[in-house]
Amino acid sequence: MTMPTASQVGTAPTGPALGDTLPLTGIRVLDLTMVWAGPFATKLLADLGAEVIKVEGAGRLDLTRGLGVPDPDVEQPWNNARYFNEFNRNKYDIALDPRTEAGKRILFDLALASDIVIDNFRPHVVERMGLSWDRLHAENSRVSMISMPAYSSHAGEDKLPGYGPNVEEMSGITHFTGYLGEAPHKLGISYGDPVAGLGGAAAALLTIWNRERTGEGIRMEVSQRNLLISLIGEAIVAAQLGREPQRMGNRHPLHAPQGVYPTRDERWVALTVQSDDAWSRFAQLAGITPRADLGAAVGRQSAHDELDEAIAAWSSQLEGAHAVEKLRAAGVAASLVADARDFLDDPVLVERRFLAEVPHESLGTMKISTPSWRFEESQREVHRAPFLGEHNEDVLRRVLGYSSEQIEQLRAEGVIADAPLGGAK
Amino acid sequence: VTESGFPLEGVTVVEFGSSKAVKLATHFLAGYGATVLIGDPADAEALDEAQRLYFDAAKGVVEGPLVESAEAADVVVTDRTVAARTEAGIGPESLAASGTIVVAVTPYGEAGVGADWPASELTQFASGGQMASLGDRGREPLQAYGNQGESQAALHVVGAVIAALIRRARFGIADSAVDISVQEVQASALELFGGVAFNGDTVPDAFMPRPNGSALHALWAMYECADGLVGVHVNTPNLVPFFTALGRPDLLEKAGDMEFLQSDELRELVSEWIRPMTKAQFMEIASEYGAPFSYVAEPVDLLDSEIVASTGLWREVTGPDGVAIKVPGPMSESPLRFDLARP
Repeated sequence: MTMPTASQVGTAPTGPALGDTLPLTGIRVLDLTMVWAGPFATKLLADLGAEVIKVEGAGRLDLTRGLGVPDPDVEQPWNNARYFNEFNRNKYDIALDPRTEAGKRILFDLALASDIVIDNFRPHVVERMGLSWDRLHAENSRVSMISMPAYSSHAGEDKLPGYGPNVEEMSGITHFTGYLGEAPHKLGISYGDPVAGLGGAAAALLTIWNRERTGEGIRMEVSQRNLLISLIGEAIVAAQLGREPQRMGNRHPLHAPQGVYPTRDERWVALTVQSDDAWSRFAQLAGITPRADLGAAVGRQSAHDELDEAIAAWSSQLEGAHAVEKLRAAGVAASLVADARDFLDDPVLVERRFLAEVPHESLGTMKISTPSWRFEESQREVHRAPFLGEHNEDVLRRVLGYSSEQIEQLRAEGVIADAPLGGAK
Repeated sequence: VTESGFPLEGVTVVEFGSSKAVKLATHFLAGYGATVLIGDPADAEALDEAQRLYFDAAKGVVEGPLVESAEAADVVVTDRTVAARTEAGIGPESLAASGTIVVAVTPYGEAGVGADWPASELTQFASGGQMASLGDRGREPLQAYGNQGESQAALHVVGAVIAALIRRARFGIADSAVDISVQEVQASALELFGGVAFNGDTVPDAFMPRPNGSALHALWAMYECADGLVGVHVNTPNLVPFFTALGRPDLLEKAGDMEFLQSDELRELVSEWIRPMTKAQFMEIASEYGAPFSYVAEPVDLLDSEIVASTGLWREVTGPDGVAIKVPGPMSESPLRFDLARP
């Protein structure tokens, strides 16, 4: 199918209806982020009702516009990426050339007209774009700025780039993660990103809350590394008490047995026996002969290797879902090691309407996850992510008061665009 | 900022639960000045010493009936199901009537088909989709250290509490009730894998569960150095600083050759280069060239780091025998006050 460009179809405003009472209804966020951490933060803000205006360089698109495009031969592949849609739904999009004076002017004016400006560049990049905090704050003291560097803007690490795995390693979480007695292990997803996204969203909310009380915007720097350290703070404390945790694989320091075991259908089942009573029920279920030394957790810890073998022998005879069902019925904590493909028919997620069906011009009906902060019935409707530059005209006219002639001139001069400039993909 | 500097001064939070999702969230809220009261002292006893020092440093305990404290509070944060809260006298209806915000964080939702399923740190992590990506190919999936399912949920709780307070301030809605599921929190954060799999598309190999443990390929791997492990995580925009740092700018000629960039040949080259270096030397090079390198930090590295200290992360609490213990403090660096010391 041939897709019309955004300017041909016109804008498709994605904001909440007037009168909504989601927490951030009426709050405008200027989103200068790309890839995952930043877009995840602003996705959460959009879920809470904010009007999020994403700014992309028309010659330097969000990289995720190129990831997860089902049909590589589709026209405008940059508007067809699953990754981009999942983390940029419900946003507006303006694409401009920030190297031009007119582009810089638009950026600054949008920042002044916003409640929050958020970026995940390396430190100092945003200043080079003309958006220094001092200048912005002097002209509108109600605006807040959130930056989300991998590390910090402090000397010694301000020029250090970092992706999710870099940040994980520098936070200490990699040191503690690993198979029993083996080397540290990288986490699976780029874990620093979603954590930073959550922290960035919380920081943005704090700025709004603080402004409700003081009338003033503030600047906040969310260090991705520092936030991850906060998630293992108890281990940092334990190390100072001389009790640094050891890498334990899937085991638990107290409960036993605990582990991940294979099933007949080549899945994995995670289970934890959390009490002696649960052990009795589990042993009966799994056909493990009762023994006095296994009656208490300490004894089961000592025999963990032996128990692992027995449990694996039992689980290997069952389908994964069936094993989980039996374990839960016996009061034993259990779950399939799920991946995203399982969520389409996961009974809990289906009941909670985890996935919304969203229309898309060329992808058809698309599934996107729904907001994870559920404010009773006041859920925000989920819309697809914006096309590149889809809201150029709408934003320039509605927010900055540009005329049609001015917008046309900007388009003619290549300041704004709704298709990649300079061969960007 | 406010006169005291605490953004949440004057906000009272009753904590009813012992999960990390609750405890870590209320640690942040207390640090930012909220009065956090532990609703059930037995919950505090469920923690070990390190957890108590970290999570409970700035909290008080409810005095008198829980119901009265909860109804008088601005916010109740809980990991109990609707049924359990109702049994304790603080069910949704009574707290809605008292105009109390309720943020519930449970493994599978506060009500519904999974509300009563038994769950643990491991099984919650397994249920959310992130564990499937962690571990070595051919081996069992691996959990991340530190109950990361609930850790992410804790950040959701912090956001939800502040959002509900904003909603009350801006729209006069005092009884917001937010239902957070640990499974769903993780399921909504699955990088490319989520959006692709939700729609039945083919998932690229690099994003399949457990693609290749700690070493995806030469430019996305951990390497042994003289005193530990370091990380090289290089994308296309980083190839110039990477090859320059490596001392092989000539290899930029192969910047478009993905087969070479992900080859064992390059991995061996990088490995030989890194092996004699210390972590500190490696990071000096990272800073000099602006390359996305890192090292596997241990607690002592973080606690002794002048740079980490300069960001204002640490706060001190009093440990055994009056010893000062460093704990992570604010979620971000800002003019907002974050303090765990209480009279």
